Amino acid sequence: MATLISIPILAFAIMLQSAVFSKITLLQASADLVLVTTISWMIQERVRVVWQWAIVAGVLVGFVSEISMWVTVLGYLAIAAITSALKRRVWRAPVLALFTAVFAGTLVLQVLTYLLLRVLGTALDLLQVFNLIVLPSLLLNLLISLPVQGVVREVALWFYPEEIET
Amino acid sequence: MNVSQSRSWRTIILALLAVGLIALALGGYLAPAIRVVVTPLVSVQTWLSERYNTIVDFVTAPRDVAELTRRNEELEAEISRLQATVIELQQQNQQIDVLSALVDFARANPVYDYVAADVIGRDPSPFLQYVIINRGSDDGLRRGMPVVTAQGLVGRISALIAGAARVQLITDASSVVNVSLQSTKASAVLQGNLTGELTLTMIPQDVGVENGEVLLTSGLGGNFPPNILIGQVTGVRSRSFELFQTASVQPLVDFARLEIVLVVRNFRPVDIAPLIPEP
Repeated sequence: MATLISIPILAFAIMLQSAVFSKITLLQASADLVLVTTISWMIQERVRVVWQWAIVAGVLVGFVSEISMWVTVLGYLAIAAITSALKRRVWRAPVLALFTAVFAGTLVLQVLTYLLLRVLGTALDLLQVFNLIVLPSLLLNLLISLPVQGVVREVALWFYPEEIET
Repeated sequence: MNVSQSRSWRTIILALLAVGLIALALGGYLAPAIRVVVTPLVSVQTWLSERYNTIVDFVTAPRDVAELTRRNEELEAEISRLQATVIELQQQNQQIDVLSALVDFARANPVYDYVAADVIGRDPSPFLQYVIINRGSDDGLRRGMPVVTAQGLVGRISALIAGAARVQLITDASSVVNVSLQSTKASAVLQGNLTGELTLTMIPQDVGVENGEVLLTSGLGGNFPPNILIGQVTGVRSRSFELFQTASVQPLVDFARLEIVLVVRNFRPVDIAPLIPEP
């Protein structure tokens, strides 16, 4: 069920991303709602369904974006691995883990996209990419991560209710 | 008899007294006495009247407040409704302006068969300049079809499904369009950029390019139909040691505010790859 619910949630996130968030830009960058939503889900303490969400997010983003689906799936799987590792190691500070995962996840996706476009022959200036896309993307993703995490946490509680000690 | 006489005298005396008092009053001789008597009466009357009005207000006021509150709510709801109507009408007006411009464009270029489409989204990746439109293969669209607005060239369809299509804008970093300069008819290549700007390259050194020069699609390469407006040259860089000149271009289309576009349905791109000799 927690896997199935990823489809409507991430589909809604990508619709919002495409219709709204992509139009709100800082320099050339925009906040990545799908990435932050996926990480916010994966970082939840009781959540066990992680890889499935990564695959669903990668497939959906690859479907909507011109970026190859293999790259997006690979990117989100890498993000799932990073987030799982962070959750195990920084479990006492979930906010720190969230910020670190969003930071690392943004970098992973941007680097993979950059490498793909370079391989395909698109002329991209690395410094320009860093200044106009990577840095503003990091800032915007970190800005939206806390509110998104709050919403995702409520959803996660439906599937993984907190245990009441008696 | 005595009784009747005494009554007559009493009446006469009273009448005389009354006449006398009236005469004195008309003459103004009783004013001080009247003032002494009337002033306290007026004060008492005023006090009574004020108290009465206060009590009436106290009793009736709550009903008025409730009535006013209800009326206020009604008016506020009416204002909200009218404001919503005004916004809706303004939006419709803007849409009519855009559609009128598109119809004018279609009339001015009757050679082509157009399909209008709404821009419903953008590519989630900040590296790419793509938009998503709400028309797809069900509407007769095919990959490679050019997309325009009344202002000029927008891009071309790069991928599509039954009900939607993804359009690569000419500002995309991997976009290349063969263009010609309107005045000299010289050919050049227009490239997109990560910043969303357009750069004109491959301009021969012997071609004079001025700021304000208008760019049109040349039709070379078979990807776009010829003579579609693109933009104007805003700056030229010419170095004697380089083979070609370059120029920056201001597009006529405002890509940040794309809402409705036209897809040229009867133009099919030509695949010239088989004609290019392999090295």
